[in-house]
Amino acid sequence: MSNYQLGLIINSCISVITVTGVFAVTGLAGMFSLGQAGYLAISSYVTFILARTFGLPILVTAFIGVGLSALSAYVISVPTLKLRKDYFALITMGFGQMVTAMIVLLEKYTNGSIGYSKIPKVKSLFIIVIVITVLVVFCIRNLKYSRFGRMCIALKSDEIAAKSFGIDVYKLKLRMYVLASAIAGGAGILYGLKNRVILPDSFGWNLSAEMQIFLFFGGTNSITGAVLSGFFLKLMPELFRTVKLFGQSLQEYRTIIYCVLILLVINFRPNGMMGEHELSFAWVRSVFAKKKEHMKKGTSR
Amino acid sequence: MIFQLLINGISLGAVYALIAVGFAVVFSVLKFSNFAHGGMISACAYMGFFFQRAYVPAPPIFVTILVTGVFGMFLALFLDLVAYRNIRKHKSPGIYYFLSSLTISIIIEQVLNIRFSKNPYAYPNIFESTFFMVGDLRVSTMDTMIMAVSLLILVALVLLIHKTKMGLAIRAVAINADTSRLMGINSGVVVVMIFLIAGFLAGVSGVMLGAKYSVYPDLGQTMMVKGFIASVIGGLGSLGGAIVAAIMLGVLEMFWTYFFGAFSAPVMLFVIMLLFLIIRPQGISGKFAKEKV
Amino acid sequence: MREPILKASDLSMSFGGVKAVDKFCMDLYPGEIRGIIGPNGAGKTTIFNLFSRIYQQDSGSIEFAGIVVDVKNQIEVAQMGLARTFQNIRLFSGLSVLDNVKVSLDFSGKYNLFEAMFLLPRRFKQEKETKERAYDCLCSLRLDQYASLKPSNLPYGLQRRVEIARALVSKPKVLLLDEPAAGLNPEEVFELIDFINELHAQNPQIAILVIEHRMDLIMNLCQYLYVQNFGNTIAEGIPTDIQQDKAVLSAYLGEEEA
Repeated sequence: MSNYQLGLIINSCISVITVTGVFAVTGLAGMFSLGQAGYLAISSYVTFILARTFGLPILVTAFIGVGLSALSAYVISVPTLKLRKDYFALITMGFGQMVTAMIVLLEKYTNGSIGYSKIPKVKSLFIIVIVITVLVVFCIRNLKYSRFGRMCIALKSDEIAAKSFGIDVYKLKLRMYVLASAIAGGAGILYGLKNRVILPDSFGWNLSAEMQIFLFFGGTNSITGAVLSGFFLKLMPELFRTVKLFGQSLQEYRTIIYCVLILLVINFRPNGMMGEHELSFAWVRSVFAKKKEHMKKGTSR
Repeated sequence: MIFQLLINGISLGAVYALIAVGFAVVFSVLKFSNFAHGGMISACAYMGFFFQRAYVPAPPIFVTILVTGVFGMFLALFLDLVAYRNIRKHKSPGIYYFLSSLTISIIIEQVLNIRFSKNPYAYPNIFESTFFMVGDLRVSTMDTMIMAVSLLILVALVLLIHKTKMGLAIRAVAINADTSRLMGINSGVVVVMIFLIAGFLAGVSGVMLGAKYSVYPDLGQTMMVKGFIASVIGGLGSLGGAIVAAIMLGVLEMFWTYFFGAFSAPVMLFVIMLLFLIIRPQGISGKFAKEKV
Repeated sequence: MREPILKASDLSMSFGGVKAVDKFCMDLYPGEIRGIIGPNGAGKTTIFNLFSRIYQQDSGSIEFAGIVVDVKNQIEVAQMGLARTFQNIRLFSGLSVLDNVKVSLDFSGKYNLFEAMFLLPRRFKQEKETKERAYDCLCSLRLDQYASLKPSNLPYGLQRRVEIARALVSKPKVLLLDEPAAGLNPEEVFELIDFINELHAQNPQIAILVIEHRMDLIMNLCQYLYVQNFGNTIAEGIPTDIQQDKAVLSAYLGEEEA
């Protein structure tokens, strides 16, 4: 595989990581975080600037970077979690804008709009990214089937009833939000390592919006949907690179296409493409069992 | 200088108030946050720009504002038709409003982005002189005009809501749509009115913001968030609070920008909002939008 | 002298100008089954919502297991051992029947986020235990065959039973049943009565408070009744006395066969 193709896969994997994080916060806990890109930014910039300035290895500063993202998430959410969902969403939007503004503001350290490029090259980045992607999806999937996942889905379904069964909804939402921010932080670092340069624009509203769109497209209730969505939708523009529409490559229209698709999905398949379904061994087995049954009976599919 | 900053601040705040009100008006009746409001502002800003530029000599700014306001009305109605009407009809869960308005706002932004690119457009010069003298002080014409127009519209809106029959109908539906219908109020008409108002406000704010700053795809969204922050500080759910807070915010932003530069302003605004949420969550007016039971 | 497990003292709550609950007093002892009856709009569910802390009363006090819970919130009271069902079924639509029951036990689960994500042993142990308890509970209500279904796919009567299972599995100290027989046919109501009596026999310590309209249920289950009308307790006592109370008859029972 060419370097270019490897790069594409890495991009898709990073996308999967961020969307999985968004799944935890939106799909499980039912909150809308429209400023996730901000956490990628905080972690990314902090990690690389510290590494460069103090000569520390990335591995060490990565912890600080992710930790700082998580801390900001905590600070933001404590006063705002109890508000209505859409107010919370708007506040996270504002947060995303603020982070971008801060990056430009701290030009002295971040190199502002020009971008920070003093990022070291990492060998076998591909393997690292794949491993982390698998790990994140693994963890979140386990989370969904644990007591935390159940409590989250309960609170998403009916918050008052959930509280009546002792579920501490605030603590749960807080945990999910901070977790998602940490995951986003990790993704931010990987993004930097791959592109070797980070700009305030890379972590702006476009990225936050993209994450949400990928999640909605795959279905907010399905991790499988989120993963597939994150992976393929990121890859799709590559297919369109040569197609042109109104003098612009179709790539430019991709966001609009996704959005229109989402609006269609809302209208015709409200649970997203995957609905409530998850890929699991049991499901695969059942599909084969059905096929076997049909074959025995001599019926067609 | 202080006086100038004050005028700038009040005029900026007044525009924020227009935005906050446009946002709040839809919220109070339809009970959802219209994320597409930002997109409408951006679209109207462009519309106003091209209208202004299309005629030589350029029409008076008031005409542009009016025309763009009307354009905004149609845009708002169109959005309702495309994005929200079905959700209302099917009584789908509230989350769909959110999804819908969010995707619409992204679509609008993207369309503007593709068609006009991210480069800002600057409105052609509107006034003969950019400033006039009041005694010893230089006062910017633009800001004075913005302030005057915004305050005028806000007053008109308050009068509309509180003194007219339609305003009463709007308030009734805002409190309880079903009961209002039982009482004979045509809630469908009220909804149309709401979008007309919101659209007009978006149109006006779009033109004024575009003229004051410049026109770019993200314009509306950034301003919408600021308008929302004003609502938070003013006390969510309170129109009067939002207006007062918006004006205060505008003044604060002006002064801060003068002393500390433009880039730290968003940070300052956000931090102040957080502080308010921690110390006085009910905002200035005392109304708190806690998660409803 | 036993202590009441749930005690209401002069509980009052108004909505706007309407007094929904007016100086309601109640002592519920462990092992008892008491009932609250009255016409619609008499404030019965409001009383339940006050006990659950969904509402905060205007005046009066509530003691649960000897502790004053006026300042406690919903979550705390639930964790203290108060379980309830709802008038309009509020099962968690995103969860299967089994998960609905499991989730009632989840807040007291012993493994943390990290252990959950990385499949550590403590998670497996706890999940196994939770699953067993939940499944057993479903079995005792003959709901085990529906374990993997979503509540929305079940008929109304079964959904009601699942709600009860969900409330019971955590072995609460007090169980609030809000119109458990609503929407059930007479045969199902008999089943429900049998079930509650059996439940009572197996868990002698549990205290049950029932809101109901159905006389057959009330007469066969409750040891003591509170009759509410327009927020006031117009009568209280043992069912046979209540049946003959003039005030009650004129307000409510008069319209129904005893």
